[in-house]
Amino acid sequence: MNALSTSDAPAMEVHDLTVSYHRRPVLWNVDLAVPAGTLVGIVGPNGAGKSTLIKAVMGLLPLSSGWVQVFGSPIDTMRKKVAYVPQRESVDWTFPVTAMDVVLMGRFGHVRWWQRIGRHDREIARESLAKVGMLGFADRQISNLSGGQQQRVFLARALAQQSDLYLMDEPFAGVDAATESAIMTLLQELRTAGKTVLVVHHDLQTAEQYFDMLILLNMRLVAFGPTAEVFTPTLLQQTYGGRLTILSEVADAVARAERGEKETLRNGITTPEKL
Amino acid sequence: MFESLHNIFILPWQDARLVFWPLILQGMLVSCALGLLGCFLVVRGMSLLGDALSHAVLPGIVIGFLVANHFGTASLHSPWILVGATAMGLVAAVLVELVRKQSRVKEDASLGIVFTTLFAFGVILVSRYAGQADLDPGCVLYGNIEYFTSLDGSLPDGVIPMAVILSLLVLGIIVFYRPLLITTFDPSLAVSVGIAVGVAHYGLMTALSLTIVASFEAVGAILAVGLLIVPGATARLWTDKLGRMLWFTVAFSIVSTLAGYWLSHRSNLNSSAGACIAAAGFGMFVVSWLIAPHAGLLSRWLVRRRLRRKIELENLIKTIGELTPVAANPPAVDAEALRRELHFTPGQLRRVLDRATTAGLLETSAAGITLTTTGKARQQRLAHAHLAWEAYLQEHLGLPADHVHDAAEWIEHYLHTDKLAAIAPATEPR
Repeated sequence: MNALSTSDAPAMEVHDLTVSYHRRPVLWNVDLAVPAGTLVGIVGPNGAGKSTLIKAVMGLLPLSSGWVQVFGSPIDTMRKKVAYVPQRESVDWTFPVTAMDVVLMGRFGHVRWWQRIGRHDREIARESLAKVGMLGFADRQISNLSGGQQQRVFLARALAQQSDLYLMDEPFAGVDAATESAIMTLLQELRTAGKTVLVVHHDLQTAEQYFDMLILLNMRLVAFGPTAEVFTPTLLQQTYGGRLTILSEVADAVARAERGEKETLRNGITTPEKL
Repeated sequence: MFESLHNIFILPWQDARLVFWPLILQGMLVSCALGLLGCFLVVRGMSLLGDALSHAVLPGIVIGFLVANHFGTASLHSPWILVGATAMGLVAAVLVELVRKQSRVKEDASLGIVFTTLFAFGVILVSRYAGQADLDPGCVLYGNIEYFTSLDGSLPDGVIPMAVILSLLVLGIIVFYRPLLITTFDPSLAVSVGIAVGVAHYGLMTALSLTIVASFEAVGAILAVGLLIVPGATARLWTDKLGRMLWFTVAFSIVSTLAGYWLSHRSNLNSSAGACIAAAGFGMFVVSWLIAPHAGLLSRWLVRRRLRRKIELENLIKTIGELTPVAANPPAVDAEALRRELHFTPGQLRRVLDRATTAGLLETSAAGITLTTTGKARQQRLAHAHLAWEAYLQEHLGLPADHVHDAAEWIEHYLHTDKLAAIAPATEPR
């Protein structure tokens, strides 16, 4: 790859990515190349590995195989270009900080450890809070905020990171309708500004209208493409289709083998003696 | 005669000058250092880790002591002990993580396994080598702050190392405040911006082991845990900001040290200073629990009482309105009829009437009770809120008419003017 082509590199590229929890594979051999400037939804049933995918991209989980690149470089060299919004439930909202403090955390990656958080950073944090309509709540302790307001604070923090790629884990979970439409407007603004946004999304009904492209996931990549092309009954059936897929049966077999049990699957696949 | 007076009033203060103040200084250094670290444990939900570490470092203390003995410098102030115990604390922290991650055992059980095992190992070492080394397990467990006493008035042995440790801690908290904050609040964000969560965790554990061991001689392993957690937990009741919580912790640590010394030396208790400091800390926690501005029981009780009084008052005004026929010059309401209608006790009615009169809402004459102009306005607003809520429930929630009265009876006290305008633009007050 020469120097010129890196500018055309996909915002996020995943190659042959396999991720396991406690040796049980939850994501198999995923290949993806997300073009820059798109708003992408990640959809699939519970346990499909949606959160796992973006956690693996962020380096929060070890990869069993494969690699991840962001704008043509390994993630560790591109941390400032990527903002991650974890699930709201992942933090302790009784923690003694204000909404402003949380948003300022978005600036921590931009200042060296010996530098102070300056006026410039505070200004950015204030602007970010204003964009999500939370400036009036800047000095509130975070446990005094509603679920929707907490989610907005998380988004403001991601905005304060001023990144080019945004990975969001269920930002619409448990928020009120007003917050949902406010978030959606914000995501569209980001896309218009040339940013790339990947959103783990639970609601199939809104997925079609919200996103330019969809990643259909069920332990493997079922389909990735423009929403109009992949939001089809056949592909959705494959993604959400009925009973356990062969993949999860094999994953169970791997987990059992790791526990030392030997067993034959219903369909005749014998677990390997040793992996 | 003069000599005995001198003994009673002058000598203690001379003693105080020589012995007392260095001890207080020592106690303050210990409790501030432990308290500051404890703040981070409290907000991380890892308070019991301090307990675990304080036990788990015992083998490190013994090994350090034996090494020091080998080099012929056997003393409880030997740096070898600090090194050995800090290393053992770090080993314990790594083991806790290892057991938790690599087995099905959860974190609390993992703590229980690691710290008792290491402590047992330490006890075995002590009993095996106690003959060779003058090591007193009692001192490690219960501490003895008077150990630091030096009668010639110079600084006790432990003060300088403790002062160094406290300075390092304060410096560390200032320099690494952001990494500590972000790895505590949201570890996944920390990783995603490239901050090493593990380094922050083990750094904190190292500082904790070092401080706990350095505090042992003053307060002992068991009380060290009390000084670690109580000031931070107390401070949390007073503020919702981590930065301020650290300042409150320092203040509580200093005050409980002073109070503890006073309990121990000036009162007739004449007991272990370390235990008295910890007891004073608990006293401050209880007081804070009662009177802290938002989280305190007293302030919560006051808020509820204000609300209860408001509802009583509004029910009174509303009932007066209901008992009054609509007329240009309505007759006064009989107090007894009012009382029966409201199900108030006579005393309760008298108190509510007094408050309403003071607030200028009603007037009492020989004929009975009448609402003032202000009172009438308040009564109309309440009636308006009640009707508006009834209408709203019927219209938007589709509740049958017989369901809405009780709901409105309750909610009318909470509907502010802006909400009212939002739900009932067309409803007219009666």
